This record gives sequence, C-alpha cells and structure tokens, in this order.
Amino acid sequence: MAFKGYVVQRVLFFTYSFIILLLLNFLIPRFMPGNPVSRFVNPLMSPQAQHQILEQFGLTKPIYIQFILYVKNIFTGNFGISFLYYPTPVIDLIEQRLPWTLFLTGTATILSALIGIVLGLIAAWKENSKLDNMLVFISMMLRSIPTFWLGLVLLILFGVTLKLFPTSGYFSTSFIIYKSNVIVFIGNVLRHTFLPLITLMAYLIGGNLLIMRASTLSTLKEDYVTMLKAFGYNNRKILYSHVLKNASLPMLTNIGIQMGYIISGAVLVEAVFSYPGMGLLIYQAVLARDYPTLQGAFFILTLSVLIALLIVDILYGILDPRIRR
Amino acid sequence: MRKNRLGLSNIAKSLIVIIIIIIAIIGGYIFIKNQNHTSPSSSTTSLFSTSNTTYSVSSISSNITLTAGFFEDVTSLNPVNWFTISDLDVLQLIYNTLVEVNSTGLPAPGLAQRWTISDNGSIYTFYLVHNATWQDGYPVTAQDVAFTFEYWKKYHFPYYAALAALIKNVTVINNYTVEVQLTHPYAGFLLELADIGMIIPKHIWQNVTNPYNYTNLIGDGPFEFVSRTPGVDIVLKANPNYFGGKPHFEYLVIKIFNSVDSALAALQSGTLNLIELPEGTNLQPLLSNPSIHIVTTPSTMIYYISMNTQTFPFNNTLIRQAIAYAINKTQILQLAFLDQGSVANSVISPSLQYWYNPDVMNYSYNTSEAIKLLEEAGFHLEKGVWVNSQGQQLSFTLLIPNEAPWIEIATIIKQQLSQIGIIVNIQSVDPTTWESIVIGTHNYQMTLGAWRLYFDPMLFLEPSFDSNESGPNGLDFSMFNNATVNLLIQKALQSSSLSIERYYVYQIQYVVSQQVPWIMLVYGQDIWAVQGFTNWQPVPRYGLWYYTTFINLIPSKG
Repeated sequence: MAFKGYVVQRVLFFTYSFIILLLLNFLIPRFMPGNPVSRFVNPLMSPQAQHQILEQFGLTKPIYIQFILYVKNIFTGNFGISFLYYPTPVIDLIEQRLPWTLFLTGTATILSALIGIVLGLIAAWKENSKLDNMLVFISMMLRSIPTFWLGLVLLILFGVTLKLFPTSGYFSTSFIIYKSNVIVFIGNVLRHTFLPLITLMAYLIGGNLLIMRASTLSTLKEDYVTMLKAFGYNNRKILYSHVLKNASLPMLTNIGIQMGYIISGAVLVEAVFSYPGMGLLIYQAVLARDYPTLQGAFFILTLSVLIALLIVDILYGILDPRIRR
Repeated sequence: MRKNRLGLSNIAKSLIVIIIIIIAIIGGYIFIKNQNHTSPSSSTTSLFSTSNTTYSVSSISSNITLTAGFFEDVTSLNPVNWFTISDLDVLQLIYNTLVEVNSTGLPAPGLAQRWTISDNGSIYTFYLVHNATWQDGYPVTAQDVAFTFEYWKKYHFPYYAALAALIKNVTVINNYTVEVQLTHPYAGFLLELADIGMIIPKHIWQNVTNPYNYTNLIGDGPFEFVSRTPGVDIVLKANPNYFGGKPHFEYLVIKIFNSVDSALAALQSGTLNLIELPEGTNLQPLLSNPSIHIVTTPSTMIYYISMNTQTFPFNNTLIRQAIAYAINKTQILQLAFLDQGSVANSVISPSLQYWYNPDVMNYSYNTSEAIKLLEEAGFHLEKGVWVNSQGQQLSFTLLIPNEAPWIEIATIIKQQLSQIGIIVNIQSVDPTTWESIVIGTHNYQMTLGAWRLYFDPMLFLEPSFDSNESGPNGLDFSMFNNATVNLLIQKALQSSSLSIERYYVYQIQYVVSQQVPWIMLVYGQDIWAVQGFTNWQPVPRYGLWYYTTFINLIPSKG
C-alpha cells in the first residue's frame, strides 16, 4: 500500500516538474537578448526585411498566441520549423542528430563506465601499490586535460600526420553519392567514430575510476568484508561477488546523472571532429536564437532525464523500503 | 579459482550483450536512415530520388568530386526567400542571373548575352542566350525573366523590396527578349541583378501557394541540387546541359566545418579541396605542404570602427578625427590580421577598383595631430586624463562581439589610445546580443564591424550613411546625419549611367572620410586553400567562389 502511494507521489512530482519545464522551455530562449534575425543582418537587410523574416517565423504574433501554438505543437509531436535551417522541421533535425549522438556518447559512457569500474576496483584492492598510484595519476591527468585539446592532439597525430583515421564527419561523403554495402559502411562509420570516442572516453574514464575507487575503499572497510576474509574466502570471490555489487551503487547514480550528457552530447568534441550531434545543434541554436530548435531539443532532453529519474526513484523504492516512508 | 572468475564474467557477459544490442539498434537505425537519405522536405526528397537514378549510371564513367568547406552552414536554400550570404553563395551555383560580373567587378553577360539601355537610363532591354535550359529540360525564356521580376513585386521577400520598388513594368518582346522599365533611372540596376537577381522557372513557381518555404531547387546554373544534411553537408552535381559549359568534375560537396582547426586538419589529410580561410589564420603549416596552394584574392571585406555620432564624446567631429589619427592601423594589420590585408582609408574597398576613391582623407598614425585636435575640441590633460571645460572625461566603452578577430583588435585599440591618455573600456558580448544592441537600438558608444561589399556600392552606402536608415534596426548605426551625404546618395540613386553614379560615389566617400562616422581599419583579403585542382580565376568579392572558377577548375594529375 505504502509503495503505491509512493509511486503516485513520484508521478505527481514528475508531472509538476514537466509543466514547469514546459514553461521555462518557452520563456528562457525568448529572454535572451537579440532575436533570430540578428544573425542574418548584412548591408542588404533593411528594417522592413528584418520584420518580414520575423513575420515568417511567426514572431510578430502576440506572445500568448505563440505560447498556445507552442503547447499545441508539443502535444502533437510537432516542434515547428527551425529558423537556422529554414524550413526544415525541428523533428527532422533531431531525428538526424540524436542517433549519432546516442551512438557516440552512449557507447563512450557505457564503455568508460565498465572500464572505470574494473580499474577502480583493482586500484582500490591494491591501494597504495605502484599500480594504484599509476592509475590514480593517469585518471587525474585524463580528467584535467581539456577534451578539445586532447581531441586536437589526437586529430593532428592520427588524422593528419599518420592519416590512420578520418578527420571529420559521421562517414565519408562518398556514401551519399555512391551506394555501397553494409559492411563497408559500418567499417567507415566506426573509423570516423574512433577518435571522438577515444577522446570522450579518456575524459569519462578518469572520473569513473576515481569514484569507483573511493566507494570500493569504503566498502572494503565494512565489517562483512573482514568477516568474509576471516572465513577464508579468497580475495577474488570477495571482490567480485560481494564488494563489486555494493561499491557499484554510487557508480549507478553517476551513470544516471550522465543521462543528460548522453542526450545533449559533447559540444567541444563534436566541434573539433566536425561531428554534428545534439550538442552542436543546441549550441548553434542558442547562438542563432533558433527558438523552435531549442524548444524541441530541450524538450527531448528534459523529458528523457525526467523519465530516467522517475525510473530510478521507483527502482529505489523497490530496492530500499525505507525510502517509501 | 575458475568458479570465482565466473562471478565477474556473468555480469560482464550480460553487459557486453546489452551494449552490442544497443549499438546494433542505433547503428541499424543510422544505416536505414542513410539508405533513404532524407532531405528537408518531400519535394526535395523526390528530387533526390530522381537524380539518384541518373547518377548511379553516370558514376561509373566519372567520379571526381570536389570537396569544398564552409564555416557557416546555409540557412534557407530558396532562390527568392534566402537569408544569409552562405545561402546566396550556394544558390548562385544553381541559378543564373541575367548579368554576371567580370574580374574588375563590372557587368558582364550572363543569362542575357547583351543588353541595351535607353538614353535616360530607365529602360533596359535584355537579349537572352538561346541555349539555356532548366534542369528539368524546359528552355529558359523571357517569360521566366518577366515572371521572376513580377514575383518579387507580388511577395514580400526580405531582399527584393528595393528591386521590386525600382521595377515599374516588364514586357516580354519575344521568347528571348525582355524589356524592363524602371520607376526612375538607376545605373546600379545591372550590378544589383548580378548580385542577387536569380531567375526562377515560371513553370514550377507559378503554382506555388507558399513560396516562403518552398524547397524545389530546379535551376539553370552549372550545378544541380542533390541533397542537404543540416550541419553536415550540401551535395551538388554538375549540370551536363549548362549553357556555359560543363564542370570538369561530377560532384561538388560542401562540408560544414565547425572550427578552423578541423578544416585545416581536413586540408592536411587531403580530404578537402577548396576552402576560404579567415584572415589571421596561421598559414605556415599549409605553406610547407607541397600539394596545397594558397591563393589570395581581392576581397571586398572592410573592417572598421563605428562611433555613435549622436552621443558624447563622438557627437564632435574633431574627437572622431582625433581618434582616427591616434590609431595605428599598420600595427592592427600586423598583429590581428598577420599582415593578411591592407591598411584602409575609404569606405569602399579598392578591390572594387571602378568605385574606389583613392583621394579621400587619410588618417595616418600621428599622435601629435590627434592631441592638437583634442585640444581644439576643448579638452586638456589633467593628471594624464583628457577632460573638457564641463569636467567630462574622455573615456568610453568599446562594445564588441566576443569572437576573433574583434577581441584582438579591441585590445590593440585600447592599448594604443591609452598611450595618449584616452580611456577605453572593452565590453564583449555574444554576437547576437551585439547585433541587437548595435543594429537594433544603436545604444552604444564605439564598436567594431566588418561588411562584405556588393558590386553596386550604393547597396552599402545608402543603408549605412543615409540618415533615413538611422532608426531602430536600421543600418546607419553610427546615427550619421549629414545633409550633403544624404543629397549625394539621392543623386547617386537616380544616376542614368555608371560613370555618373561613380561621380557621386567618389564624393560620398570623400565626405564620409572627412566626417569619420567610421574609422576605416583594414581591407580584408580572401585566402583560399586549394588542392587537387588547378586553373582558377579570381573575381572580386567572390574570390574563387564563382561559377567561372567552377567551370574552369581542372583536376590535377595524380
């Protein structure tokens, strides 16, 4: 019974947040100084011409009508037409970018979490050993190197000097012009993804390793670990069957938080490798004051984070009965 | 030992399976998406699929692709409702204009092989080439020209209001002859047509109900539209039936680069054939690469300081002149532009050689002249600061967009002016905010700017210096109001021949240089990196990005 009440409470909370986000999503872009035409101005553009474009964008209508249209559109799954890529529907832009972003940042997040967990566990188990010191040092270093700088170094080394990997794009343009078979295409995509993936992972692994190491260290001090040792279980069994599960909890929270990052992409890495994902789309939409694109992208972003958090909340309720009260 | 390992590998196995499934789903989705590569709208999708069948056949014979780079993606690819210069740059390869320009920036035959102008300069008769066809096979005729001109008058497209107001009447004489009557004589008409006057096919556009977001791109130019992926690339295909000759390559792919570094990397790795690099780019690594050619072409880009002439301290001409003398332009050119360009004096760039007046006021760096003018304006030095009799200090804010090259230029200006006791505060804001302040409300004291000039100088002089344009969102953002200049602009806009227009354009340049609403800093230079192709012909303003270059470029051997 208590659990049902808990779920209802979480869903209500989710609904409130959703409504507030819907409102902010509309207002915040419009509070930014300037308007979507500012970017186009050149000596040929008279004030009348600027006004005509605003009219085409529907921005000369009163603000409350714009809001009603926005809400109506959101519930029909239509985010309007992008100003920056006029007249492309925003939904098409998101459909184009989101899979690539999920592919790049999703893979990077999952792989770096796995590697971070394993290495963090090992580092903690061998605390203060040479291996531990080295791993901690490398993590600190990877964590503090700016990603765009690391990206540039990798780009110049592997893309320009060694010519092992392509320097930009999702895949070679020739695939748009000349069709090819699936295997060749996938190989090409993987080659294009490799450098940005490594750059992102380098940044993520460092943090994951440190979090995992810290949480493992505190788990290792628990009484039950001492007891297991006293019972004569071997170290591997203790580490992988008992410590790993308990120490991973903070990691799961961490991955949950990274959800937003997975959707919104990594702007700097995308810019360095000219890999147009959601991050660059949002960044350019902000610069261009492309309201519909901002609304659409933030809607997808906030909705997925909210749903992820709702699921986590409910899972916590199932896992930990204390939370339900 | 074995059993213990299983504990890890079970989790690991299941995780790996999950990852593979996720990657496979996303990868599969991407692949399917790519198989039926979508374009912005249904109309372009159908265009893509029709041309798809033609090039899958021709791709066997020739598959040379020229990959070019843009730093700014196109916004609205529509020959009548375009928004940005990038849009125009791409559209002009798909659509012809009646008139083109030659390498000196003067009118040259385009879709019209010749034309006549009535003595009073208000009736233009164009004689079209007979062998031009639309990319769907229909011939290009005088009906299309008349339709286009009337279309500009019928709708409110952002860039065609001036032309629409200028054109009074269009008469089709025969299939290849069209007569245009203007509301008043205007010599710049031909150049304006060369700049933006793309002709559209009547048989396609006459039935369009909403031309503002219509995306059919069947043109008559040297290239056909294939596809556009926002933020990624634009693919064009050589038009085999282009009346001016067929390009020596099959595809023109325009890739969008998000940083200069990624473009340089693509150049170095050999995957990029043609790109224009911004002034101030370090060219050293490219110069040492034997396969990359650096070509500099005359640019119509002007870099300037604009001052709000209606507010203190710049409402005093003497102060503006003093500042002009106190700025060392050569130093700015060396430090911020790495010497890529030249020191400027007139508001018209010398690359428009027909229009450039070399005999304007020349404010060469001269601090003692600056000090003399400040004293003449009633200022005196007090504890190292200039103060006037009302106790007002000579200090002001320099508002700039927070990007290159403005930050560098502003820093140099601040340092130079501080040497003679003028205090400059730099305020940098994001580019859109900057536009909304400078062009929107004109609520600033001093700013920096750059314009790329058109072939007809009046397209720039009129909005920038006519006091009618100083209202909100007007481009006379220095709030310049000078009766002589206003009159000269009106005369220039009524001139019946290019030489008369030039007479007034010369005078406007002189008076503006004397009144200095803008301090001219640097004339830009277009820097092009080319590899894999030879045989180019630069044109002012467009540099290598002009249809003549694309017709002439030949793939180099190897």
